[in-house]
Amino acid sequence: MTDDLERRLREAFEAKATSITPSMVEVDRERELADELAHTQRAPRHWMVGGLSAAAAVAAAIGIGFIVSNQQPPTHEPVVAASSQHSSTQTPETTPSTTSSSAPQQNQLAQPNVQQPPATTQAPPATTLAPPISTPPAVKTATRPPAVAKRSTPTTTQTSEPTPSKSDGNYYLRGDLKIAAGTDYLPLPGAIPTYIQDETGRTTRLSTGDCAGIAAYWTTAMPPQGWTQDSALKWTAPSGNAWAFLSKASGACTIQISAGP
Amino acid sequence: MAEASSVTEENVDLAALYETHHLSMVRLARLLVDDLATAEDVVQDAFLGMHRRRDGLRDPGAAVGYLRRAVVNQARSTLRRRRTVRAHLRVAEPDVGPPADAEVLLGEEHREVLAAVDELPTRQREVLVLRYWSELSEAEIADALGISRGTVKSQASRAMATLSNKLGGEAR
Repeated sequence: MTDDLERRLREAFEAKATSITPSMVEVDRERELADELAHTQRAPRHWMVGGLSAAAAVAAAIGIGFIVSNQQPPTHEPVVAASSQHSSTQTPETTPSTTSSSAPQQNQLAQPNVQQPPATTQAPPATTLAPPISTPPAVKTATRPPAVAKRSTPTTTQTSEPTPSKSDGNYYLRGDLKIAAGTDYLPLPGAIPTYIQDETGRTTRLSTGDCAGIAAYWTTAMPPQGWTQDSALKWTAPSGNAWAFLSKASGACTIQISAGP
Repeated sequence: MAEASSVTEENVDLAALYETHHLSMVRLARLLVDDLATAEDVVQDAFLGMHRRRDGLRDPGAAVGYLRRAVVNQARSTLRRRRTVRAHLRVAEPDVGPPADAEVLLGEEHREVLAAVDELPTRQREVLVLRYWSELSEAEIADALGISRGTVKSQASRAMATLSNKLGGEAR
């Protein structure tokens, strides 16, 4: 009963989610935000040079016993973060922080919604402050490969490396997809373009343009590899610990692969 | 010098994060709020929030988790504000019909399940969405919602019991 309810929930959520296609998203706003994010991605590199000066200035100020106590630097300037983080072992009490203590002044509404990363992921050594002068500016957003493809330990790995398309930047899969932490392989037809859409937790979603083609291919390719068909659109892996769902909504076809713990 | 470069490289690339996860986050938000436009607002605010705090984001591997958490929190705030506004405007405002992007194309079975989920308390709905759509573990859900694993478990249990009562008799 519970399994049935869980299945119904998964299918309902998936159907509702995949009914939202890229074409339904407000394009102008999306582009503006993407541009904004791409623009500010480049900013830290410029400000890193300034970061050195700021850090030196702070150190000098400490050296002559001068403490600036009321200065409120703009919270969005990366130079401040560079100073505070990199020199924190020397001057933690004098370097302004851009973390949660100061950020709420900038926008109260949004602040509760972004959590601080764990402290263990921060504070590189002070010797790493030198600016990457020779580093070229960040490349334009559209030319960057998806972050999901950069992960060193993805939930799933491919039997052959996914190939980025030169035309759309997506990472297309060639051959079967290995489902990590197991011995299962998801058969994928090479003739039907399929790429990684996203990965969350133990779930990987793939986009493909031909749902019927995938379904037909699976009908012939899955059973010999030990997959069992639970329903027209759902298959269980040979290990019994991974599942593949096929869903289609508003012309978009999604393959969801869920691996058990 | 080389280390500085690597530190910079390890900064979270928000543009790439946006490109890769924008749609899935809009879908997640849409499962939590009333309509697509609001879901887009929620995701935009979440990205802008990360943008403002980008200097504190040093772990690209954790960025998706931060983003998901921001979306869930923003969605909850939005619903809370909306409930407040609607409570005050109820007298003057006519009943609002389904949103323009209502699930008209969804099957009856899915609509029925989603309607039952919509009637759940916000927290329970969030737990179910993160569990059965995002496929997160209890620990990951607890982290995303800022609650204990025990609370996740109890909220999920209550939600499933409620749904079972509503839908169970109709289970095929």
